[in-house]
Amino acid sequence: MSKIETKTNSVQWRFIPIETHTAATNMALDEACAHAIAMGKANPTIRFYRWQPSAVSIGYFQSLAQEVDVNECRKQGVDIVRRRTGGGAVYHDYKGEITYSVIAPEKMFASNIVESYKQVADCIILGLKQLNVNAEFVPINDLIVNGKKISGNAQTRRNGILQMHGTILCDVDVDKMFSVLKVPDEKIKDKVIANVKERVTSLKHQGISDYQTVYQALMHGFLDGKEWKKGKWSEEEMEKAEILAEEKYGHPKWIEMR
Amino acid sequence: MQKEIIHKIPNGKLVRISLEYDTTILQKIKICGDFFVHPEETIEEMEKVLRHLPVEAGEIRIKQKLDEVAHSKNAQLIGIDTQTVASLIHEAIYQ
Repeated sequence: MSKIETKTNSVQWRFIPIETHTAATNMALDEACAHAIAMGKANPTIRFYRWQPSAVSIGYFQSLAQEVDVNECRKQGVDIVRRRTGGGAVYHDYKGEITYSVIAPEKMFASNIVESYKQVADCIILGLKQLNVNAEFVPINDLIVNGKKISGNAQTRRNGILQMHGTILCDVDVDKMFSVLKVPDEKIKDKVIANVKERVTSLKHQGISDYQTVYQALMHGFLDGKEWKKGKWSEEEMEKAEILAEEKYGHPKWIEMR
Repeated sequence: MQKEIIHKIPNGKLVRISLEYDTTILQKIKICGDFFVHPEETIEEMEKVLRHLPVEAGEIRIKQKLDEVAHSKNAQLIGIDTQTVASLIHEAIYQ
């Protein structure tokens, strides 16, 4: 199975156009949406979103203290959230990236997890191709352009629902990123930063600096070949997200869990 | 005593294990990193079954414990594996 299964005729995707929220609300909306789909109350969903204030998200299994300079975040007004997906720590700059989520019954995807990463990654690849940027998928969960990372992705599967989200770098400021992220060995932080600068790219580096252009291209990549309809959150999803943002994603008990 | 060990698995992810133990018993263990485990709470279950294990429990016994949890949760581990975690715990204690 190479493409996301859309042949099951009745599948109509809900597309939620780009929104801006806090870190906690963004993560809460992903979960509320997955919940609604699991209950049969929402269609499979593709959404795009931005983070305001800019934020750090850490993977489910990461230790907050090991990965994030919490004081520096506070000083800079950078939000912190723990994702319900694994993977690494990400600095989500409001202007520097675009985030997507694909939330749908897992039976629409390959049962092999890495294979399903590739299925979603293919949407990003198609989108970037519109911009004449040739990206390739590198297992487990990265996309690269000319050997440099441009996108990181993470998924979880719960109650029969696959939720995958990821970011595409539009503009990257590695120094800013590492002012809030820690590295495994702080003694060689300068070396690590120099190395990351070599290994990461952005669409700006590839000559594309208009955010709207990037968004339109990615929209095409994700929606092409699918039956879809522009939609919005239901009241039930909004209410659930509000509770989750307050009691889970915005709560120290969850953020500091590991 | 407290130990921490960091290891990047070739073609896999970064694993950071922190543990606390007294002369005979593992008191606390945390397996952190940028890997993936489905379902996610498998990792907490793994940390739980290793608690109170004798420190001299070898790699084989540790791996067996981890495999039992993975099996009971029907878990999928991506970018991490039970053999590596078991070896790292053993190494952290005896390094």
